[in-house]
Amino acid sequence: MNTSTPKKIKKLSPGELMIAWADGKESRYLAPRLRGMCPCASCKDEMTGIRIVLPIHIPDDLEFRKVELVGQYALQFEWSDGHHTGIYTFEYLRELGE
Amino acid sequence: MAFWNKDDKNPTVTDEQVLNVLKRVQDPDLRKDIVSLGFIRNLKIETGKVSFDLNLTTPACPVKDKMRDEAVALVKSLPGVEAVDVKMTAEVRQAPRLDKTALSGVRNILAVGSGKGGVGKSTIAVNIAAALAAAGARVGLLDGDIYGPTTPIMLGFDQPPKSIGNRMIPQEAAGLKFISMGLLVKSDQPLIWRGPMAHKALQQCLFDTDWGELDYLVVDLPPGTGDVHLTLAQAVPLTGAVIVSTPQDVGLRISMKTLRMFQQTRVPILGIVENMSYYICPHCNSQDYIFGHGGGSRAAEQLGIPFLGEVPLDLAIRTQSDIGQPIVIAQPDAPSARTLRSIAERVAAQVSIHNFEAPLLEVE
Repeated sequence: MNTSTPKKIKKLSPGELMIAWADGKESRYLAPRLRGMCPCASCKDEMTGIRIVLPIHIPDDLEFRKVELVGQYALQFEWSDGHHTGIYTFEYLRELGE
Repeated sequence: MAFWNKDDKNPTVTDEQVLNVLKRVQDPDLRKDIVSLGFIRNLKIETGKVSFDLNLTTPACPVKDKMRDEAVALVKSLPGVEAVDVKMTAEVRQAPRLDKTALSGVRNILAVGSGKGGVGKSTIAVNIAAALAAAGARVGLLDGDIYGPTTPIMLGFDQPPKSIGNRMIPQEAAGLKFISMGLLVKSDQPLIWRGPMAHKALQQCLFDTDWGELDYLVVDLPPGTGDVHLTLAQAVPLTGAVIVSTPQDVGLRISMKTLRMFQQTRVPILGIVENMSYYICPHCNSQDYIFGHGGGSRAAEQLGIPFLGEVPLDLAIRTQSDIGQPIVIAQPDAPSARTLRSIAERVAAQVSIHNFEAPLLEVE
């Protein structure tokens, strides 16, 4: 069993998400920090990998507006600042949760 | 022992005795006994006559006759049983994560893909879909090959589907509901679409079509790993994908790319179909392995995925495709039709296995 397979995804509060993984581990994510790790091309330069959106651009009280499954391999978030194009694969989320 | 004494010695056989003996019948795909799997329904016992339904996970089960025969023989061996009446039924289980409300009636979505074009992917997709329908399943076919739609020819369509309001009504042929992305544009016009348009068109075919209740929706993909593939893998939780390849090394190597793409998006691989495996001479019926032999089964073995079967280069498959009647329907007893039917049954069995094993994801 792939350890980065989620068993349960739960919004603990408007600003915090929990993922329980197949191996029993639980990871917690705060919205502003997760938003700062957005892998999409408008947040992170595709060629250089340099971050375009920096923590100073993200309000501390940022919230999850929507959490959606992408097929069966990733999650997509809509944030309270309106951004919604980042696709976070389960591998990436697991890595961020370590 | 006299016949009339039989009932006196064993007055009645009980439900428990019947179920106990039926526990010895295993579903070889799900690796559990048919009682624990909940396959036995409507068990009735009336003075020596036992009747029940055997409710399988697909009407296209490749081993249904074997399981029925085993069940009948075991129940008949019980003292006090004179007749056994088994009704074969099937209920295709829903893929655990298929929860998009617009497609709530669709239990499983299967993709048929290939690395390169011209390997007969559409022929295989059409015949798998038609064979599943012929077995009694409710089946839809979405031709997603926007760049070279051949599926409409194979089912005898050249007109676009009708729509009511903003919903498309699927066309029907060979027992299937059918929508082609290619028929949404004029047939002699080349389709020059940018990614976002392909994305939108596929979403419309999936979500804005009245598919109704379906056990299987087969999606015939364009060759390669493009926009349509990614959209499909992102828009819906696929039950699995079937990869079609030719036996040639080059065909197989390119198929690996498609396979890896499905693995990266966590779409289960239901298996590899090798098409054009050998040529059957229409004059002398001899077989020639003109593209080499065994490439598909070797690749499947190396990758640890099921090998679903070898389909020959057979004139009859081509002629049936060209007149719009899939061979599994028009000539069900032809050798190639039998092969294609057995591939469809293996696909259905793999779907049942994946739905049985797939972990449930809770979202709160």
